[in-house]
Amino acid sequence: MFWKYTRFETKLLLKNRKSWFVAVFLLFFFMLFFMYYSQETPVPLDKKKAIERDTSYAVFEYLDLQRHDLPEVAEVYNYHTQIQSLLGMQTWFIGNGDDSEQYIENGLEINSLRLEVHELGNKGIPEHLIVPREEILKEDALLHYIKDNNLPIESDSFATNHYISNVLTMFSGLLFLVIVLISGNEMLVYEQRHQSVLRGFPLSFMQKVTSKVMIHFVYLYTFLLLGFTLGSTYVAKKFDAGEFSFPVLIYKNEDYIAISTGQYLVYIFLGLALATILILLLSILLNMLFRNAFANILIGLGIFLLPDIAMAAGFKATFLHPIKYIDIFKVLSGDLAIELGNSSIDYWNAMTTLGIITVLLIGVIYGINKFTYHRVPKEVPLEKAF
Amino acid sequence: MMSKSMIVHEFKMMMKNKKNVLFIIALVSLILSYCFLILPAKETPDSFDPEAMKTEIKNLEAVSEGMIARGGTGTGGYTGVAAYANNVYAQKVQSRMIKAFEDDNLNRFIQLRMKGFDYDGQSVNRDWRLYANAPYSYLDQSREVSLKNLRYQGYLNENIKVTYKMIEQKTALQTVVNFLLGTTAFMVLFCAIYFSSDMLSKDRQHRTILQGLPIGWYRLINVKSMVAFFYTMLILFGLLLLTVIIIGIQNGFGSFKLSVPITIPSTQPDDYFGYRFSEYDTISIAKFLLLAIGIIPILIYLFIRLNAILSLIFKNSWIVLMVSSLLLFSERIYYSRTLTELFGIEISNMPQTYFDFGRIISGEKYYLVTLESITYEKGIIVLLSTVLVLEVTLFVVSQIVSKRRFYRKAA
Repeated sequence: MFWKYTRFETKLLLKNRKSWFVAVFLLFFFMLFFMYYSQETPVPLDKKKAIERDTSYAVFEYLDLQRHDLPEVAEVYNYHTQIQSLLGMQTWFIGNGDDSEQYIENGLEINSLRLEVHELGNKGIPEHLIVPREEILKEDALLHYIKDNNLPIESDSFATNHYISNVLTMFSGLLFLVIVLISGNEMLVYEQRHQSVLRGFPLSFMQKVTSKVMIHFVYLYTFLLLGFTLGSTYVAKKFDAGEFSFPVLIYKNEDYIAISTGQYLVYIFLGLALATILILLLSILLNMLFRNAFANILIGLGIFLLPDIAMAAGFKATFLHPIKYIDIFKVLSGDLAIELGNSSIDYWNAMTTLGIITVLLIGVIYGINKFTYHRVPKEVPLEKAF
Repeated sequence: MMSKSMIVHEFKMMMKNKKNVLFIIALVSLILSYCFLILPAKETPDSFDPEAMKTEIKNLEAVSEGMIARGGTGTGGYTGVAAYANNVYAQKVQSRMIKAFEDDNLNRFIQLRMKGFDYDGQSVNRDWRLYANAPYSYLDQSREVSLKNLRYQGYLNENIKVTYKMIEQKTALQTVVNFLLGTTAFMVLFCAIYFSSDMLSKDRQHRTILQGLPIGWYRLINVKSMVAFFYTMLILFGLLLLTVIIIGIQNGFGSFKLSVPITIPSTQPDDYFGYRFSEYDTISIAKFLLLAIGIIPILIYLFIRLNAILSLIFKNSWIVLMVSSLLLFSERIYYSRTLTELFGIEISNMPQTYFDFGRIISGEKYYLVTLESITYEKGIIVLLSTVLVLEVTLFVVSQIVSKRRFYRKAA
């Protein structure tokens, strides 16, 4: 019976025009994004280094105002002259000098000098020109990875990462949530609308829920993967950006480590799979509670925005933070840890928490369903909604 | 006679529609949480922190003393800049600013602040994706300063009692104006799209009752559009009233005479050979709101008619909602600071440029894209012609997708 029901649900899904629209959207989103984004080619590494060198030079304007009078600023000035000369050498080595090893060595030395300047409290450097500590640690991890794996570093080495991280920044989070919520919002409400046909089905409620979640998950995930593959092949062909061995930084245990792009993509898609299942289960729960398809989306969005509102109002509600774990990209890059001020949010903790929440949701759905069987007195007929 | 009963019926359906009620509840809770939780603690770019300024004065004093100690109180060698004299002047202005602020002499405070010694790293609350990649980015900064000075001058010119909340732009009228000026203005249009997205599709659920109503198909669509239009305007007006009352009680109402700075094209003659810098002027809040009230109904009507066409074609309220929203935000897809032509047509002739109506009225759109033909008057003309095109299209589509075909059960 279960498989017959699954076939039936699949046919329903295929007939619904909304699912076609979502499928087309997922299929073409990545490719269109890359096409649009290709209007601005990513800044090559040598230009980036040149900009960094010039910005760093501007710090001298501010240091000069105070270094003759305040001894702390004079110390910072000493370090900064060394940093500046190393930056200049780096620009040479990545450009015409073409020496990857020296580039990396200089980079590591710049990082250690910058950390020393941070120890001194960055005296004399204005707010907008201070390189944040996280940036230094990230650069450190990247360079160590490149050094340990003997990867050659060229001007356009980081192109693939650039494209992938851009599309994922845009997609992961709110857009992903909205798509999953929209595609799953009528799962149980549909049954309520066609009660005469669907009410007497000889299938238990939990099995029905499993079937629905399974179908929607397979459908969403397949199109997501297809769309992403399509986009990546497009980018690989057009921009020669097929470098999947280059490192990407992720945040782990309050530190940044570098892993290859391929491994990074595996992590992202595992995270997206778990997030999809969780959001679909949440849709089922909201359908059970509110019986309205629009309520599903509004309340789902409201729950997602709750931590933001709480933060803007100044409440430090740490129990709301797990809601934000759905944005897998931010969790991996460590931005969420910085945003929420909680340095223990990294990929493995987030995945465990999401897994626990999923199991909890299944438990709640089961519990609510069981509750409808509590008829007191016994003569009252059973009013099951689904 | 039938039309009248239809109007009453449609109105009741819209008011009872769970989706609308939920959305209104969501909006009201957003407004309440903004007014009570976020607004009191919010630091706007116009906020003033006396403590931070006192620290800055101390730093300047230290630097000045250092300059005296090594005799560096003259002009710089190569640039001719008199750093020491500048520092002394800055210290004087800043300490007087603090005193004026603490004495609540806000007119004097504003005059001192306009001298530009108030270094606030936090920039104005703008949509940074719109401002990025400017060909000449220093023009943006000088524009920010000019607009701020014009606004402050406005506080002084009108003989109104200036309060700190007014300077921070937290009063009721100023909040409404800032809401309409920025990207948040899209919420107004999204409400119209949301409320009318299922106006035709929900009837498909109750085919046996509604298919046989003795009213023509085109007339029925018109009646529904009209009801949706008035419903949307009513809800928007109610939400506006709620916001104004709550913020008015908290932070004061503000005055209609306050100035909203606008950017207008250069008034130099056509044969001027230099760069045509934009010029800045002000309009009162009253005029701004009148202009906004002039353009908002046209936009809402446009989207409701668009929703009608899409409902006839797609018959599914979700697709209508998503496609309309995509069209609403379509301008963001191709937007850049230098793009002035799309498929060979200038963007000032296309309606989606004018969906961002706050920026059209304040001239910011013209400034961002540097296209002098984007003006409010042209916007009204383009939008009205789009409405005309949509009306013709709707008539044609309603003849093709007849009532029987619409109610045919497929998806």
